[in-house]
Formats: sequence, C-alpha cells, structure tokens
Amino acid sequence: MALFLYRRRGMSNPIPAELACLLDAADPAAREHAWDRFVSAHTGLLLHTARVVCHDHDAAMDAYAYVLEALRQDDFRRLRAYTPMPGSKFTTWLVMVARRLCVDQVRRRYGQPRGEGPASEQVRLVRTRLADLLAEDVDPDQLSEPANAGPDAELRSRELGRALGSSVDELEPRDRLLLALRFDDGRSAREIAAIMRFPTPFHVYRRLTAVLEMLKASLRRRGIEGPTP
Amino acid sequence: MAADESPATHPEARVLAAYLDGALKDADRSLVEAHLAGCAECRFEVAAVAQLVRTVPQPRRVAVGLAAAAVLALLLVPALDLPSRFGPAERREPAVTTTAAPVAIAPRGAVESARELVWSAVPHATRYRVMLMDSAGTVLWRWEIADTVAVLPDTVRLSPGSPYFWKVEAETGFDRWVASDLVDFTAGTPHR
Repeated sequence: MALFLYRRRGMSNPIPAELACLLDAADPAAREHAWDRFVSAHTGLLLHTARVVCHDHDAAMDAYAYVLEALRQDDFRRLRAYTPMPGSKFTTWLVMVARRLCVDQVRRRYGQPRGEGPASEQVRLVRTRLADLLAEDVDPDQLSEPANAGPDAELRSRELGRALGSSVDELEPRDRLLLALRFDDGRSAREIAAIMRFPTPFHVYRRLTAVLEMLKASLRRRGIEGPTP
Repeated sequence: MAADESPATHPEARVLAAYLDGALKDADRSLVEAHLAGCAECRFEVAAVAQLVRTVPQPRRVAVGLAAAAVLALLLVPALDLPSRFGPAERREPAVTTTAAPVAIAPRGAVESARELVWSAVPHATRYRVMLMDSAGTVLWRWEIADTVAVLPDTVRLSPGSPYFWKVEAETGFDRWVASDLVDFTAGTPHR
C-alpha cells in the first residue's frame, strides 16, 4: 500500500516546539537541555503508557526507562522518523510508539504477557456472528443440539459460514471494521465510537443495526433464511 | 511488530495515529479500515492506543491556577468586611456540599433478565429520576422515586439481545440534580 510508504513531503503540520528544539540542537549541552524539556513535556503520557501496559509498578518503571533509552538511541532515530500529518497529533503517534516499545520490553523480559494480544480477546468473548445476525428470527426450540450434529449439519454449517463470509466481503471496509470490532473483538459501543470516531455509542448501534439488515438481505438473496443447519 | 518499524503489510505508526485522530482523507481512511477489518493485531493495537489516549492524565495547570485564586480570595475577603451584603449567617440556606453522583449498579452489560434498576444512594438526595432508553436514544420509560430501586412496569418490554441504556439523577437541592453515567445492558440471550 503506497499510503504506508510515503515519508516527509512538505507536510504543513508543525513539529511540536520541544521536538523541533531537540532535533535541531547543535551541541551536546543544548541537546541535553532540549531532551530534559522533551521528557518534562511528555513524561506523564509516557508513564501512563508504561503503567497501562505493565500493570506492576516496578515493571512499569523499567518499561518507562526503556522507552526513554530507546527514544534517545542513535541520535533520536525514532523521533527523527516522525513525520507530521495534517490534523494528526504528535502525542497520539508518541503513545503508539511508546506502547510498542513497552510491549517489546515486556515480551523480551517476561515472554508473551497473559491476557495481552488479539488472541486472548477472541477467547474472552465467544460469539457466533451468524447467531447474532439472525438472532431475532430464531426460536430456541428449533436450534439443533450439538450432539445431533451429523455430516449433513456440518456441511450446511460450512455453507452458512461461506455465505456469511461472502456477504461480509461485499460490505464497505468501514462496515467490515465495525463488525470485526463488535463481533470478533467484542468491543463495547463506547470503545468503537472512540476508535472509529462515531459521535456517540448510539450512532454505533444505529450503524450496526443497518449493517446487520444489509447482511440479512444479502444472505436471503443467497437462499439462507435462518441459522439452523 | 517491533517498536515503530512496521512490516510492509501493516500501516506505519503515524498512519494509524492519524486514523485515530480522524486526520486521514476518505480514500486513505478506507484503506486503513480495510486493513484493520482483516488484521486483528493492528485492530488490537489501535484499540489499545485509543484507550490510552482517552485516559492520559491531563496536566493540572488549571487546578493550580484555581487553587491560587482561591487562596488569594480567602486572604482578601476578610479584609473587605462584606457580611452585611449576604445577611446574617443563620438566615442563609445550608451550604450544598453533596457532590457525589449516583452510580448505576444493575443491570450493566449482558444480564439474564432486567426487571428492576438499582443504583447507589446519594446522601441528602430527596428523590431520584430514572430514565431508560433504547439504542436509538428513544426514552422508553421515565420514573421518579425516593428509593434506590425501580421496578420496570409490565408495559416496558425488553427485546432479548437488544442494547438498552439507562441513567439515574439524584435531586440534591432545589432544582439541583446530579446524574450517573449512562450505562448500557442487554437482557436475555437471543441466540443458542
């Protein structure tokens, strides 16, 4: 994707003053002074990031020290890589980089943290997308028992899965992301609103309802009327 | 993903940051959303950063300024000798010191059934006003009560699996209300 490869090309958004001072510092003394200023401006944000990633106080302080060290490394290589984008905040980028560094440090020291990562999110919330999708039309008495599931039911279930996958693929990327955040990751409407910049959680639910209606219609066109195998 | 160096298949940190800030143009945003829809790793990262950005403690410059102003006022007011303007102390209304808001206790999240709404008591509250809404923001039911429990009437029928929102306000003085957060819940399990 070309979008992800472009670099500084005359972007008009200004670099924050404390970062500009740091990157333009001519001598070691000025650099030290500018670094102190930079750390003082962003220490709250960096500490907060370390605390959220690490939970434990000592580990958080280690991660915080590691982030500072990594940002200083190779004449501030990581900070020099920052390219302002119009409308985007330096602090959001800094949180993202600091979080990645903290996660790296935690993995290096303790291995993969328990409860961290998308896999555990999926385990946390077991949801059946198709069941959610067509829930309103289902009579619980009509649902087949897992014990009765035979080869036919399995085949039918696979067909349903394929049909649902195709219907989802026809959606706009924004709607696919909405479904993934809600049903794959189990995010709350409030979280989704923050990520996708919906004005309120109500707007998330409204859009979800509309997308589910579109999916139902698409499945009906494929001859699927319900989730029963 | 190692630090800020992204594999070619993942968006750069600055692109994801710009996405969270709503700074991407439509075409670019669509590309990022298409990637996020299929990449659980990036989705998890974006959600984690959104949460971090939302919860970063803000600097306390305003609080310090207000504290300084308050100290100054405390030093100056006695010197101005103003009691006659406000009348004798015994005739004044008692000071309102209650600032605690009620907390919506149940139902929250996914529950088996929701026939009553329960919230925490607020000291000196004379009554509570509770409001139930559907996911479109339509008010389904509104009630005033002195207790901290309100039983939903039979006329309010909740659809299993549908999201609902509710909040409660406590009256702590004349026309003075403090509200709980808006909480959401779903009652019943529509599937399986």
